Amino acid sequence: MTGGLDETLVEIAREVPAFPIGILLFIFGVILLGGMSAQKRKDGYSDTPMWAIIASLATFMVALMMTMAAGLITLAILGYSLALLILSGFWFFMSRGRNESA
Amino acid sequence: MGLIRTYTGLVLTALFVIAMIMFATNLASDNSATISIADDSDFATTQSQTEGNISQFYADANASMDALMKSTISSGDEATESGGQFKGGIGTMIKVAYSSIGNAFSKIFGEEFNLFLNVLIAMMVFIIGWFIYKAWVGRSPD
Repeated sequence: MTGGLDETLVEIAREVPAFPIGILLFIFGVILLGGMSAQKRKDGYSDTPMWAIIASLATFMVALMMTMAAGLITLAILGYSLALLILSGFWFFMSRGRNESA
Repeated sequence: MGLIRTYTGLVLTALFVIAMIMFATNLASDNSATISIADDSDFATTQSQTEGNISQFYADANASMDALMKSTISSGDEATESGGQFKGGIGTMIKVAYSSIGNAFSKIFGEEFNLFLNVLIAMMVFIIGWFIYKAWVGRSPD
């Protein structure tokens, strides 16, 4: 009954090539900005590098899922999402923790 | 931040990069994906270079610890003469930083923007140098 559901996305991507990029940017933006604002409201501060790596990791995972269906994502977009993940990882691992002395 | 924190961050970044590329490659292989990150030659180069550099760090770290074990401090001295036990690994760490994030910078910002990466790495060399001085001599360069 649910067979061929991915065809809907593939057809949209065929007509609007920017659709997969828009989906990935939407996921990245929602997790980054949503996570930062929620943590800011709850704890009084937001750990931007942590939310950046969480958002880029989620985006990369969705991009990987998109590679299972032909015509949904290109190698270049997958490369961009991996590059974003690597730079977020570098930022996260090299950033100073909130309670860490200078 | 300090020498230990900086080196740990760079090593974890390198291991993270290798893990993510290998995960994406194996996921595509196991599920017969239509697109695989293994088809991107730049990331294949990133993986092999980072693996080589992080392996070299293993050798450098062992040599540095060996120097630390053999070093002596005379009574009244504030620092050892060579400080080799603190300097080991800096060259490898810079190569690790270049190989792990260099391609990611080029992908997003383009080849023309490599100046940004070069300046960033140069700044890291400067900071790591002062961290080594701080650990070796015991003075704070802040």
